[in-house]
Amino acid sequence: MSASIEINREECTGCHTCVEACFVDVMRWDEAEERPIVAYEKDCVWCFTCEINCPAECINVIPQIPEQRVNPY
Amino acid sequence: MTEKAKKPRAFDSDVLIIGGGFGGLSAAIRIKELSPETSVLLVDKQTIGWGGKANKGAGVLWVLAPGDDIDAFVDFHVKNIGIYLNDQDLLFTMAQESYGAAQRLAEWGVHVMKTPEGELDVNHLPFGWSLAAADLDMMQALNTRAAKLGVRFQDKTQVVELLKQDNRITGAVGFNLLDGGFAVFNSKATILANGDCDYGVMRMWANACGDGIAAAYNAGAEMRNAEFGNFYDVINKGTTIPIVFGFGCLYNAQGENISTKYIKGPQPDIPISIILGMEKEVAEGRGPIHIDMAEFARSSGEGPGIFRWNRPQFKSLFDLELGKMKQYGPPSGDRTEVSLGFTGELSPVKVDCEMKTTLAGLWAIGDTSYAGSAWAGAAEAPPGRLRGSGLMNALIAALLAAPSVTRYSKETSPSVPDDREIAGLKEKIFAPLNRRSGYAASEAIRNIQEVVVPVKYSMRRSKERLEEALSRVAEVRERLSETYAEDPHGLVKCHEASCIGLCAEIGFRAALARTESRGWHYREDFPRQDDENWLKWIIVKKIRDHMVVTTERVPVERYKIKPGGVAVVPDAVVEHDELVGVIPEMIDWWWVNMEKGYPLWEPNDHKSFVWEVPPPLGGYLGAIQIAEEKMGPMPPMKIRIRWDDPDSCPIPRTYEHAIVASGINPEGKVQAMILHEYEKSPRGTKMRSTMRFLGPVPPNLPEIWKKHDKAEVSTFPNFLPDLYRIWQAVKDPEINRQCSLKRRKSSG
Repeated sequence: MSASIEINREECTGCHTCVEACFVDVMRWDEAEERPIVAYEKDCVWCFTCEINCPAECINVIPQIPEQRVNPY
Repeated sequence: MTEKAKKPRAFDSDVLIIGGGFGGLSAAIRIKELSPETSVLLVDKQTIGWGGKANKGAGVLWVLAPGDDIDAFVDFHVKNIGIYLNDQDLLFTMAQESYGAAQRLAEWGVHVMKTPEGELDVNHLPFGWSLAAADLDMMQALNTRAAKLGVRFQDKTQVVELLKQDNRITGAVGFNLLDGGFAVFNSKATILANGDCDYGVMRMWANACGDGIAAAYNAGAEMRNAEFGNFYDVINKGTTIPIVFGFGCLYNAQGENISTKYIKGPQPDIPISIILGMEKEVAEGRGPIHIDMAEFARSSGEGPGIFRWNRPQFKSLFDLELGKMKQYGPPSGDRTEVSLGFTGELSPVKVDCEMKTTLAGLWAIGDTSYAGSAWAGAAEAPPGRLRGSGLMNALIAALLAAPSVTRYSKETSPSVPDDREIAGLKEKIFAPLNRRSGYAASEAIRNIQEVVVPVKYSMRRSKERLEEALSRVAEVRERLSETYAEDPHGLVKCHEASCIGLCAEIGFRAALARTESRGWHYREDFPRQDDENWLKWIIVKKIRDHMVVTTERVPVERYKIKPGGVAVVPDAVVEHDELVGVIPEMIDWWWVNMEKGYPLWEPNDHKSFVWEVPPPLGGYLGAIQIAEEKMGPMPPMKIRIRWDDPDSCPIPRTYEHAIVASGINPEGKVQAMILHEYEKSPRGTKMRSTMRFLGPVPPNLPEIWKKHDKAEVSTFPNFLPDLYRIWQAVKDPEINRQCSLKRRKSSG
């Protein structure tokens, strides 16, 4: 499971919502820049919670499809 | 180890709740409502109010709404979903509390859908229960409510182990994901609310790695119903998104409707038969499987109806996902290839009706104990064949636990932390940070997934395959001591891998122990439901570092809904002397031609015989006879006997030929049943008859019947070979009926 996460840093207001919303610790907070950083992108499960809750609408999550799942058969 | 990790940060509270999802927040709110002075600390490995599963699902809540019949629901559930493994008291409580619980959620500020009149806007489903719904901002609403009530939050902290003193849980230890600091929690009462184990397979449930289950198991808590932690759903193969309620419109590569092939009658949710059926179709070369999306769209009214409510948050997320799939996913059409999406959902922490685990000071709610609470019985819980019951289970479990937790925390003195125990745990927790190479946690998780995902291990089970699965899990678990981490984020993965490995073993061991098929547990080597031996829960527990599997009897005698076919007194068994000169085929013939020689069978006791329903051509099932006979000292009586299928009979059998004689009353209710089984022996036939009494039994009846039965069967050599031979002259099968009762030996 993975995705590419694009954050438009110019439009980002630094509200911190995406960091809180990420339930898999992909997003972290850059204290110096006061902006989110995509720290562990490979762990993104494209739940889109960060993107949909971003008030500035500056996040674009691009899912990697298909997932490399174990074959059930 | 970092400097911060060396200095533990201590957190004291009356109540510690591990897991800040829907269940954890609900419990925190309720405890504060009951007792504002009780200090409550919520801890989550991510962010409270955003973690858990609740805001990533459909937001539906299973309820028994006004107009739904609770007794009828319980009856349906026990017979068709839980298959008699339910804790029926708790099942009833869940049903009874559900509507009020949903209303309470609205009082807490959650956007629960309502009618203009202010009632819950519910969707009545065809099976006698309903769905209410909330919008996906429910977590933020609960978060706000909990904060207002004074609940303290600790985010980004992974709890790894529980602390235990004098057989009582006194807190927990873990570490902070941001700075790697060691965290020690001292509490009077602890609630596990950190979910079930989904083995990291399904995206939206990626966090549910069995953290709480592993911590409880390691502390010595009992697990129950772990064999039912093997949920699969139908998923879009390209996008891996579940097609909930899509199981009714599936086709194989030849265009054959496999839903009608494998699913018998209307189903409240996805049945196990279609999972096994899909795998069978693919294994036999008739794959891939497709869903007819147009048919699915037409039939989706039979499902949960998730779009009937106006829920802006839910709609936005749905539309966003749909758009992403159009943009980045494979092209989709009316025929979409589907696959089996293993989810797992192992939720086995055993709890009672107040959600107390078997350890003092420890409660478990929500998905941590959904199956372990046993209200869902033999269902894959969650969803437990009741969509919307994941949220409702978490909510009611929180409400049931809160009074008990509050009371306990008031009655209990704080403990003094055991520094030696804590130091040992600290070293163990941080060990992967001290290694720079070894076994990658991601690889370990993948290796466990390779064992739990295939149907051959988790669904079409057998002793051989389960042992193979256990052996593969053991190989991975042995290597888990070599996992390494560069930072606290990586350390989380190491502990998740460890929890996943442990959960896999718990699930497979329970599955190996249950030597029958029931509900969501299918054993190819034990395909029958065995009420005789398996009205039991399987308990898994750690005893002196060993995983020990035992059983606990389900107290069916105390429950309202009882299984049919359960003996009221011990079975009466007659092992007959060898029937010299009689071959099994003669006895097969006899059962469908008894009017031709009934008095000969027991010349003293048999008076008259007539078929009320004659045997069908070439078969025997459903034939009913009225036999007038005398048994020992009892006066002659007319007995109504129906031939039934031995494969549906709960009495275990071992011989190749078999028939069941069910004694039925005028309403067709079975009062007693006799299994006659027999097979070829060196000089003729060996035979056994077993009578099971299902209603009131006079004390001397079993012995009288045994004598009578022995007398009957012992006459076979005197007349049957001659009678059988004479009748071979009649070739018309309507008159000289033919029937073979040879079948595969039962494994049960």
